Amino acid sequence: MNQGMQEGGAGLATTEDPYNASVSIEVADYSNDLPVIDPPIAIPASQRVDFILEQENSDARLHNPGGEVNQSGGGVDYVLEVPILANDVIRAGGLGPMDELGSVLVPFLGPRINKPPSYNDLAGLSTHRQGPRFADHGHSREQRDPSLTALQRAPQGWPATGYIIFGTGDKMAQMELFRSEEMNLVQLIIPSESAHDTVTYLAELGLLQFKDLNPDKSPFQRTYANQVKRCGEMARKLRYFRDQITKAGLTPAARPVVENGWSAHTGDVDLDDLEVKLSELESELTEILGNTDKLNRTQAELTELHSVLQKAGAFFSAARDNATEAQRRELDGLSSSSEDMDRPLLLEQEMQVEPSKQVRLGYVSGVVPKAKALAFERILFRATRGNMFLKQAPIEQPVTDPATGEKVEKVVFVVFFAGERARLKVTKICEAFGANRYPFPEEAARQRQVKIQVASRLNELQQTLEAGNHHRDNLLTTIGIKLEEWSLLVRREKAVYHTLNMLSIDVTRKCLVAEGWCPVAAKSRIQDALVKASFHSNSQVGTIFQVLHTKELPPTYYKTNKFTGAFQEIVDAYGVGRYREANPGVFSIITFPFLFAVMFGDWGHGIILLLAALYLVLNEKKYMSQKLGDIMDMAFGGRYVILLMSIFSIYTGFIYNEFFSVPFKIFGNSAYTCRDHPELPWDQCESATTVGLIKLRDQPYPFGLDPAWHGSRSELPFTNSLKMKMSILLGVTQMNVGILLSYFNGKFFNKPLNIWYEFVPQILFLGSLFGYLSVLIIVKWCTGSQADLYHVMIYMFLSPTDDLGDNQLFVGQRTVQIILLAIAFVSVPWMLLPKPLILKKQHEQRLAGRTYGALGGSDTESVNGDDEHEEFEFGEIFVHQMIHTIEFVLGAVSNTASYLRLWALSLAHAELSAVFYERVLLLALEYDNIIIRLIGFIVFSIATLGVLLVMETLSAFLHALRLHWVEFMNKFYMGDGYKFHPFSFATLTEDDD
Amino acid sequence: MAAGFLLTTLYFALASLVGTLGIKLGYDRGTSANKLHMLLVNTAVICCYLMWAIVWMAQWQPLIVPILKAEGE
Repeated sequence: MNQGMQEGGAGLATTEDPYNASVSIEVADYSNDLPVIDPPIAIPASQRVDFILEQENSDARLHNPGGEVNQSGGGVDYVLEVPILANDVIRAGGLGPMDELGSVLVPFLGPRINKPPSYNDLAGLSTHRQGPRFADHGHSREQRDPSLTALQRAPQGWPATGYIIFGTGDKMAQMELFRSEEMNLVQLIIPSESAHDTVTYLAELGLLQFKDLNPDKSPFQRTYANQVKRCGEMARKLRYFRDQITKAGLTPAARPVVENGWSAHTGDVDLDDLEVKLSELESELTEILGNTDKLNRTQAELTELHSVLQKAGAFFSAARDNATEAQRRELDGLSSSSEDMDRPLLLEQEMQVEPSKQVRLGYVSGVVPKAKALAFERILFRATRGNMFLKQAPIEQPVTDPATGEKVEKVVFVVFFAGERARLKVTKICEAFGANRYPFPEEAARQRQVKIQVASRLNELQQTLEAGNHHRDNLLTTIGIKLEEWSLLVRREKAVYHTLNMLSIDVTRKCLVAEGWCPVAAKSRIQDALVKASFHSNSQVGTIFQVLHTKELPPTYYKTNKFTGAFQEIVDAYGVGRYREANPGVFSIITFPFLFAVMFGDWGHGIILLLAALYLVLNEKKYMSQKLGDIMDMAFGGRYVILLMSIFSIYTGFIYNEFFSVPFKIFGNSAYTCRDHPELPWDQCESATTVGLIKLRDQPYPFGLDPAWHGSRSELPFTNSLKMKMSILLGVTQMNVGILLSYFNGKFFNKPLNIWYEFVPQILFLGSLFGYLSVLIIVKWCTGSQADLYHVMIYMFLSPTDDLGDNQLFVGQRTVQIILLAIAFVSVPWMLLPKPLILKKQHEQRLAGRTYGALGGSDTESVNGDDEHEEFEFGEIFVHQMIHTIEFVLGAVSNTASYLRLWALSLAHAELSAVFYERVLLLALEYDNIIIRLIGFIVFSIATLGVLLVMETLSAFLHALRLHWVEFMNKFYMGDGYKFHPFSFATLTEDDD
Repeated sequence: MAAGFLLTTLYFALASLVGTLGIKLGYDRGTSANKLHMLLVNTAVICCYLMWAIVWMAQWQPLIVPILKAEGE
């Protein structure tokens, strides 16, 4: 690659010899960064900036040399005429879109000619095509063959006239989107120290699809497995932060808008630093959360204790009061026959026994969940054989359970029992029921003391907790601000390491080898990124970029924009096109909405659809940034499809003369008048309802369907016949376009067999049957003939020699039909036999070694292997051809019939809207009641919206889809390619975490 | 003969011409993009023309005429 440079340098050394003098031309892409120019030039914003041209020796600088830029067709977009001195260094670059500029930049040295060169002058130079920024900018005389011959032919000495030609160099510049972008398999040899930066820069650019060079290695065996794992760990931490932030009820800061690309965005954050920082933050957060948890538990326990103190204290004081009273009463010698129901039995007994025999009563106090209280009591009762006393009181508000942290309704209980064994039992039961026991001091003074203590501790705790929460929120807010940025960085880093894992590492571990696909047009930008990356990483050695030659089929890449993208999606949903085959998407952009509209012809409905589509299109910036629901997302993605669909619907609505099924006389009066009294209006014309109106003038209604048809008794017979024939005409046209595209494919891929033995018989077959039917339809319309076309077509097969009689549409029809029939019959074996036979013969010839000369260098090497392969497949080829032929012949009939869905759907749409209009709206309007009218209108609106605008749209969409996928695309589309998926940061989503 | 037909055909041809020239003069996005845009415009015009012409021709020499519905039908 640098060879050219050196040779160019050698040329510069020998300045004396004009023939040996070299002119070096450098091409730069100035579209992104303007060169430093002295003196500075100002380019007005309105002006389409074209070129900057600098010449070193002559000090001549042409900036945007408007006058000298010539536009000429045929792949040459701009021609600059420059005087060239010996050993001149010319730097030229385009400021316009580089895709169209500078694919060719040829120094055209020669005598001054009167007119700038056109493509034809440069025909020989087509081998000299260069990318917009080619590395070998020093042109030696060997390399610059065409221009040099021109120089040698007219050695008039320097200065010579040079022409710098910008353009694609193709005689026919390729139509955008018609074929997928040209792709190259490229190899990058990246020094390991700059590998990371290089991949990052390439991902920023997003134009290279890396190939996995270690498919046999498991993810753990790969070079950067460790880094991927680290990134995964960091992503986990970030997810943890995000969860905590949402838990704390905070919102993470919105995604930072990435405008200046990667470097500006993450320049100050290093991954290692981030890792450390994240672990620090995580441990800090876990500590805070752990403390808070502990504090929360203590708080809950204290709260429960507090309740116990309150409630149990109340029992005890009540019991004590009762006891004292009873004692007093006893002492007073009063009868105790009428005992208080409240009086605690145990205490009473206690009072009655002798103090010496008094058993020390034990008690346990605590809280138990309300839901378990009943079972708790029962078990206690059984376990102690009734030898206990349970007192409980519900806590008014739900309290936090210390163990789970949930709010639970609880009950304070005090169990009294006798004996140490009973205590053990009670304790165990308490544990089993999740009842928290709390000590309750017996003495009132101590109770009061504990109460005060608990209250003060609770207060303290509350403050501590608040402070802790505040601290946590602060920390989370700080994290929240950076969270999105970090997530983005981590996601990107992970993707970068993932990609680095796909590269194969050199044995010396000094460099990494990457292979991948890139569009040819993007090579310069990739090289540019490589240079920037190695500069950024201070690498001693640059990355080596070279194109590999391969027989592998490259990926398919269409450069779509927001408008064409949705249509391309429709095609890709069927199958991604084979590399550089004709793209049906180009036609679908128009024919898809058009066929939809044929089925959806109503300009009222069309306008509503248009408004909806316009709303989406005009608010696209707003919707683009936010997440939408599934259905809304689909509608938004197809907004331009819907837009075109609605525009065509409005057009076909005018053709069908339907506005919510109401005809309008926009394009003049009806062509039909009253039979006997043309001046009378229709409703006074008696014959109008019996024999019908009559068309007196020659011209029909100038645009679309005559309003007279609407609501007439003969409307359906007429529109059915019209729409059916229209379906066939449109279908035959579209299928022919499809077959025609197979010709372009055959020509492009240089497969004459496909043209002669597939395209030609196919178009003849379809033309001689359904093309002929289309002609008959038109002839019948134009002559007003009564001939029965079904009859004509059927008897064309059954008895082609019979006289046509009344069904004759034109003179010599019988002869024409016989010829057409013969063509159709010949076409079938023509499609079937020659191609496989010729393929067989070719391979036999090749086997005999007679065609070595015709083969390319690379083919001859592998010719034997290929042949064996082919022979093995001959039967398969023949069967394939047979299937193909049968499919086409039968398909010609069934596909044509399939287009009748256009008629069926359009009929259904018209009839449905007529029903809603007449049977709902008009019926309701007949009443003189505002409510009935309103209800009628609402029902009409809902039916129109739900059935016609949603369901009918959907069904017409699906049918249009089918007509494209099956009837149109099966004529030429292979659809067995694979999509180009460049590694790009822009396409990374949050799911890639 | 069908002067109306030819006249409207001319209008469609004009629409196609205006579209094509409009792209070249007013919406120039480079050779290959222009080709695509011209194809789109012309496909659209052809589709619309086909539909119009079909409906026009079908009504030119009618075999059946509109028979209006009587009152209350």
